[in-house]
Amino acid sequence: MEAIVAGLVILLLIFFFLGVGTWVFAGLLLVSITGLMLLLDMSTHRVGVIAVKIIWRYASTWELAAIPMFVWMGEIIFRTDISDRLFRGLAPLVDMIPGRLLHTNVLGCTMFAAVSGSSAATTATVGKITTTELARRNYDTNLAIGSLAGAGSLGLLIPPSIVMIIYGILAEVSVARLFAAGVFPGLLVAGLYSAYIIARCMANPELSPKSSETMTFGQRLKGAVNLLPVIVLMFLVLGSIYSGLATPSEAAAVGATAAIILTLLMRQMTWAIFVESLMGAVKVSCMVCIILIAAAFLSTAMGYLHVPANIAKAIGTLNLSPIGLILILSVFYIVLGLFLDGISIVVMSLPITLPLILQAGFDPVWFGVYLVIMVELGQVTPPIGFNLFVLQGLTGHPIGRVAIAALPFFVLMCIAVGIVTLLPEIALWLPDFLFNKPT
Amino acid sequence: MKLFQDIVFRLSKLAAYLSAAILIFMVCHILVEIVLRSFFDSSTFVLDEFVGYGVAAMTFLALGYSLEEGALIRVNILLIRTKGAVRRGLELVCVFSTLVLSSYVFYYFWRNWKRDWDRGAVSESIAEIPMWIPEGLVVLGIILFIIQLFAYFVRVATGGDMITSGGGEE
Repeated sequence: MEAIVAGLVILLLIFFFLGVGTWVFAGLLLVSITGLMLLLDMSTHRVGVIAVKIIWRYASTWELAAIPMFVWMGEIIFRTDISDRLFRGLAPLVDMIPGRLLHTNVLGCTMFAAVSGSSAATTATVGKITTTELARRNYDTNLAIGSLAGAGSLGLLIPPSIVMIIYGILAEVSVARLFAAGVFPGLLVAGLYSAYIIARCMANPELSPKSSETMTFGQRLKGAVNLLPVIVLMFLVLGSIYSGLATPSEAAAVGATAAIILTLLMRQMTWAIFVESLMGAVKVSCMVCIILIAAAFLSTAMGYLHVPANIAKAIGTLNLSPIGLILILSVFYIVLGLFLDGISIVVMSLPITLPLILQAGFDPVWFGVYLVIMVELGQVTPPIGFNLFVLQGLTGHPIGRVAIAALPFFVLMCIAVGIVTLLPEIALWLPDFLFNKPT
Repeated sequence: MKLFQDIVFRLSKLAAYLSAAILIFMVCHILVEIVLRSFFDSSTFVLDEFVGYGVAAMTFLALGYSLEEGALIRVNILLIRTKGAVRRGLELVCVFSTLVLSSYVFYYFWRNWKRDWDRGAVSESIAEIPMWIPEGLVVLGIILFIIQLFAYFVRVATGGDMITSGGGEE
């Protein structure tokens, strides 16, 4: 009973501190500190000593360095014409498939996701070009915006991925395995999106108007050369991880350096872009890292209060089947996703849900993939969904309109979660194949 | 008043530039490590330690700048639905509680720093880095954050501009 009360008090504190609008990191720290003082009667001194110990330990975790570096790489690409080339390269290739240029959203995001760790960056970088190009050619607005909202969130699932690094650090799971586990589920989601676009456009060809230009095979091939920068970056980042040359955190440094060299060679890099991208990376990674550090303290506080263990025990007495547990968690995460951003969802829920999942016999790597898809769902649900915000900014349509356009893709993502839950091998086959099964 | 705000933001920005320099340093250190390991079968032996300090320092040093630039995310369900004096009051509550929190965390970080400084504590690795250096950068970051928060508190209380949060990244 006491545990339930403690859990409820913590939950109330979270709603209170985050609800009034304190910065997320400050809110999490305030919850933890007041929780420990109120519920365990700890002295301010003792809490302070514990807090500083935990904060320092997590702040100086070197795996965190992957975050500023991947963000920096994304910032560089965002500020140069690599995304423009991505569109020019893909457009001739997809022109033959029903749905035509709508597929540049899906394929562009899938490819860009492989060099970027964040979904907002993916949506913004790909959308910067495709939203105007598709609108200019009179493509169906709902499909154009919706597919971008859905596909943009692939940035989280397809490696590298900042959310996966965060999950890996907090859950103590190998980030390289997580990255490998995200590949096929990511391709599955992309495949579902493309299939949906094809189906819709075959039923109603007016959704994707025919272009007047006809191209020869040679011209198409020439266009595809524009894909080279992204492919090179993809190859270097993922290649350095899976060849064993670099750990995922080190691969981030390789990626950032490669992006700088590549943009220098393309004569795109200027001093201004260099400084802007660097300062952008500093800002974003400061935001992510400080939340992560605060969340680590929240986990510790919850551990002191025995909240996760007791909730796990309470749910254990319900005798849920593993599938029942996943269903309940899915509802829980979709509700959280309505109001919270991805990082907050992962860091706040993990201390409670991870023990539950492990107890039920799920693989922590699989759960990482599941969690990332749940976070992706949260990206496209109003009132708080970052992909929706990005698209609102890009297209000027109100957020409600964007959310409705994204709805079919939300449903497709739910289907993908179902498939990955029933067939966990989709996620687990590649990491097992690459790194052998852990014993 | 304007001068005070300007000076504070300039300090925050300076610290953010330091963060950026640390980021570049970390990238270089990792590249050196990869080259040493792959081609010379050697290592700098201090990669995880140095990069760890780097992340800690760059995160805390950039706090003030990120705050002022609206990069630190917050849940704005309530904030976007309030206006005028209520909104301003709510902002003051948020800033004030963050200010109290930061000062509290600062006090304990300062204690640690002072202790390591007095004892001349060094890290347990072969580099034997004096612990006051990385801890000092974190303490400095927190101090600048507190100053930036205070400046912001004064600005909101006197009717100045409020930070419009960009919403963040994920």
